[in-house]
Amino acid sequence: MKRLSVLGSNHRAFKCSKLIAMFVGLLLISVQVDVQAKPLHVVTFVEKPLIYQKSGEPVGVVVDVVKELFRQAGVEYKLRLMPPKRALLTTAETDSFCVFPIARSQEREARFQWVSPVLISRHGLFSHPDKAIKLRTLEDAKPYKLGSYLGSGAGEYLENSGFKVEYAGRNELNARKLLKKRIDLWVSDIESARFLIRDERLPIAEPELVFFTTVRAMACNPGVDSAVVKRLQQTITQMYRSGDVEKIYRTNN
Amino acid sequence: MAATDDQENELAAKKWLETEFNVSTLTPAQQMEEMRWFIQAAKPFKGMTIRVVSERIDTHAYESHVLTRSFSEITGINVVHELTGEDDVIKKLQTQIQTGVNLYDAYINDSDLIGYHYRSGETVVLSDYMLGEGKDVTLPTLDLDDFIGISFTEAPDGRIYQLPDQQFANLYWYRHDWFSRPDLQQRFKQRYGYELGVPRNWSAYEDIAEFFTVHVKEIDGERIWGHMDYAKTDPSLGWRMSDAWLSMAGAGDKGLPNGYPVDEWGIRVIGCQPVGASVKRGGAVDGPAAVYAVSKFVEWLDKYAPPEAKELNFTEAGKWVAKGNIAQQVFWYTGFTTSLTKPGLPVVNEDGTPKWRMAPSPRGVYWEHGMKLGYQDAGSWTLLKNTPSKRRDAAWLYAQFVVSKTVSLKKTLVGLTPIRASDIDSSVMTERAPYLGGLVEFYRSKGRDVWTPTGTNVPDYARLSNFWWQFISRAVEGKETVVEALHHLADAMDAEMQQMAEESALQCRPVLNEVESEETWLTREGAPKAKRDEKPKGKTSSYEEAIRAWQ
Repeated sequence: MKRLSVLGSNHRAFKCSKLIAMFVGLLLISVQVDVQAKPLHVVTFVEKPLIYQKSGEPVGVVVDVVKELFRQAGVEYKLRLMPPKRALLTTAETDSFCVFPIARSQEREARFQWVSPVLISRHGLFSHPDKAIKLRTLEDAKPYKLGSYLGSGAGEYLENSGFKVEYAGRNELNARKLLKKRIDLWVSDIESARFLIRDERLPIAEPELVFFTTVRAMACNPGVDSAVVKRLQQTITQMYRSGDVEKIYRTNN
Repeated sequence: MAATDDQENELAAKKWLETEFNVSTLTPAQQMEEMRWFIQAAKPFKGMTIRVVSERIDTHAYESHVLTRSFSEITGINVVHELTGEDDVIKKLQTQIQTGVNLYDAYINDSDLIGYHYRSGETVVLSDYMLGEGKDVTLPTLDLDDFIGISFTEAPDGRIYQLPDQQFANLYWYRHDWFSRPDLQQRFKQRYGYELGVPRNWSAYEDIAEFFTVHVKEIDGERIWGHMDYAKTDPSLGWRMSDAWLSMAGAGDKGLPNGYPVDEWGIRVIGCQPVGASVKRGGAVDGPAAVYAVSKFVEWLDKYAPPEAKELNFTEAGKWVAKGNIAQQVFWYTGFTTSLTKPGLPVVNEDGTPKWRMAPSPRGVYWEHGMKLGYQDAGSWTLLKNTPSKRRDAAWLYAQFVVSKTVSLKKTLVGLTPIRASDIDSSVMTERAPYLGGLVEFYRSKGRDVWTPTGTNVPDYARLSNFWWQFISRAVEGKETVVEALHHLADAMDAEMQQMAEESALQCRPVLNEVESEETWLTREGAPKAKRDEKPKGKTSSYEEAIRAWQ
């Protein structure tokens, strides 16, 4: 496939980051659309270091890419922060909403329209410094209490697979719960966890097991004009081809 | 003196042979020899952690939980084997192809994607790799001819793109104990005029569904149902259609493993080039047979299935029949056999034999001799060219380990998704046969060749498969009539193929036919087929007669 191959080779050259989280490309859909009349409501949530809050506004490398995506697509939007679970529910229930970066999964597939993928994350299990739990396979974690956050795709995945999962409102709260031994293993995107561990000087080591990879996307309510969603897909693909995404990563180091 | 690495690995192998792989078509000495080959071949990759992904069925759970551990202890290569939804596997593979990001080192991806793998140039051609780049990491005892599904992973260019890991078929499932009851047999015959037995056509299936749901209603004080299905708006609703409904109805043409020039998806090809899905372009997605198929799907779901069926997906529905209140299911995935043979279940006798049987599914009125008889999934190891070669080689070792003759018979007993003729023909499987409700009989017959996966007419499975669930759900939810939904589905497929044609350097890329009137196409020979009498008299067989059809 010519278009996919071109996109693929661009990305083979695209080695932008120490982060495992990476923005990736999309199918190119040749649909020309008019910009929608009303601005889209786009919501996101804090996931340091990818997304954080500064003067009450969402900032970070993922936010920069999404802002550029909307600018180039000529789509009006209003961006704001919400807690992750609320962001997901609001988007599922409200016509003009989109949320990013959400794990795309078969269970969620039919509930949204997707601009996908926008981010790839690997998820790990972290144990308490005084009580290391050696894991060879994910099944070894079955007897333990795992900590995730509301709205997390990885948490949902584990719960659906029969694991004991306890949810906090935000990812960083789990680090504290782990240190207070209220959970046995902390489930987290490994880059977010490493950032928190460094930033807050937490005595938590590397993950015992990196067990799951998620393709993360911008999910839009089914009521959002599908032509707008296609336009966004087309644009982000072009951003990869042009090197714009790479540039944003480089600028953000 | 401390044991060397080789000695430690050999000890680990010995332990696993004695405790886990204690059934095999190889002798223990041959097994040990095979394990020694893995120990030596794995040396350059020791300490690596490789990532693979597959769908979530019993066989892969065994691989993920047990075989990764044994492989790691024997070879020193760690494996994270993720289990996820089938749609997620496809999307992850698609993402790696599109972006070049090394998400996984190998995928267990259904051979349904063979049409894409050979057209795209993104997938490692295994038959070339095994002789060339991957020669040193290819198991000498792999024995490709022993894989019953190897033809499903071979492209029209004669090359092999994938290696089967597990297979399961769509077969008719029914309560043999209920069907054998003289009182129910008598009531059925009195009402319908023929014997209660394995239905050979859809009219009989429908009568049996009505009989149990409407007339029998309760057995032993429990509400029972004459039909089971699933229809949640979810990607798995699409597979329900593309896997079997249209092929059982007889929408496509004759030919094995898939109809030619029109396959069971309703896509027409000229040579290897797709030319249309809609009837107006020579396809059969919205032809009378497809309308018949989907109409019966919706009608039976509404009239004869438990109300919960509309809210279930593939995984949830597969195990539902174990509850013991379903009389029959028109096609059921044998991948769920393990979960239906557990002692203590309402569908299992005290001696461990099942109260149910599997048999060939009934055929719709458009089906003709020479057409495929049903669908078979062949989850197969797939390597992508953009995976770094060292990681790909290490993953290939794991892939071969989980299908090796040392491991495969035990894996077959656990997951009941056989891949090797030698395992199927073994005395161990003969002993297990009475406990598996017809599974062994199926796999020892020609049935294993005529229950086939999606074929090469589908140029890009990932891009086209989404349409099935999105459009069929409109008919299920009553938002559109079946005819409207199928016309829209066919148009969407044509449009997507047109886009592939415009954007593509694909081999054998689509070139759409010009539009002609539907009447013109329906009067020509073969698919798409003109409307037929859709209500012939019901026909049934005894179980013995039904499975004789496989011989």
